[in-house]
Amino acid sequence: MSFKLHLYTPKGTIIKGLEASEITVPTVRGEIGILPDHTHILTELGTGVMTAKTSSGLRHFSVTAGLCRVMKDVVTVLSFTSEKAEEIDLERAKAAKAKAASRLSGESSLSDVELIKFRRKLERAEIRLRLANLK
Amino acid sequence: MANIKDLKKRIKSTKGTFKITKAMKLVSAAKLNKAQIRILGMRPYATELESTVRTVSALNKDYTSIYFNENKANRQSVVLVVSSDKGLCGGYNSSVTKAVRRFVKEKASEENPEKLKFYYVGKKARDLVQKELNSAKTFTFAKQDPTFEEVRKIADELGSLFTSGEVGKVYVIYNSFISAIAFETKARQLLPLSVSEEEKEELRAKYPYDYQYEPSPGSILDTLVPEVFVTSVYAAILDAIASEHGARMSAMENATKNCKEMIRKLSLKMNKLRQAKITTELAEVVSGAESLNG
Repeated sequence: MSFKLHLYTPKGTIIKGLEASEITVPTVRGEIGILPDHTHILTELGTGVMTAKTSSGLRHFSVTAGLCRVMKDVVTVLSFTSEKAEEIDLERAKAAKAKAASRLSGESSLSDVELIKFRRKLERAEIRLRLANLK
Repeated sequence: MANIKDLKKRIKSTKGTFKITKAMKLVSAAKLNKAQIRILGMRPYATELESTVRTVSALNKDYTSIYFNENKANRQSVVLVVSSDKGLCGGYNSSVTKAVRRFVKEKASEENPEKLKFYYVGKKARDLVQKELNSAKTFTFAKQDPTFEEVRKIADELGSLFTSGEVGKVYVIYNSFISAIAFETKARQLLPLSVSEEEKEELRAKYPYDYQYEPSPGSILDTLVPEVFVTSVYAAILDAIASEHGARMSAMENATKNCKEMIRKLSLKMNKLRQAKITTELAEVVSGAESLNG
């Protein structure tokens, strides 16, 4: 038994029609697992790592805010941004994390906008590192 | 009669134009390629998002949001007109302009017409119509290709006009990309997201079951609906950019073709003239020699 998985972002289609037998998706209320014949569900995505189990092994993707829809045997994930684990540049992610962390820990001179910006950067870098380690 | 020297000059200048149009065509082709990837990558996301929102709003009868309600008393509307900053792209900007004029005329002929206010992206159409219309602001981008964040700012500005109740409707007029040689000028209503009763019935018939919602349909729609609006604006701008490069590419291709034809015609004319000149000279020489021998 398997179902089809689509992952779309505004920057392009990440995967289309991937045959998966099981996926876990981060939602705003924690991770959920989806198996074939799941009930129709529409949920808001959280930020994190989405994992799909395919016949050739596990595949990992990062997702940020968006939407996940399960209908019949099609799972559609619309994410604001997304990356495949294979495409992560580990060194760059590490550098980005260090940079964001140092900005956040250091001076108190950050404005609110900057604070949010660097927190998001840190979050993204952490997700990338998690993804890279799952590879 | 044109002399050979003039013709030579014209051929030379036409060759210069030929080189320019050919280079512009190649540049546009490369840019079109990029723009095409962007819009085609964007479309599945935009259509899925919009169809989901429409379906969910149809299935949840009691959900209401400011984004769905049409405020009939508010007759103020804004229109975003997307055109290009540069010319030399065939009928691209004039078809946007035409669509704007048609739109204005249509709205004016309605009962209790809406007051229209125009916002622009790209200055070509603006320059053509701003004198006859109530124009507000022109949005510009740091680079030629806007980023999602830049578009979000525009969308937020227009969206806040709507949510604050200042305007009742938001429209967009742009060229929608079909293929490298074709585009279609569209005028769309972006806000309120109106789902007609018939469409609702249709959607309900298509989805006889409801979803299970996490956390709740209301909160999902609350986050998604503004997103649909931003995405539509972004898609419209990407569409316009891709059509612009397509239009410029085909315009430049035509220009290149015309240049070639022109060069061919001029060379032919010049060669004929040259031949005629040689013939006359020969005849003169021959007749001169004859008279001396005689």
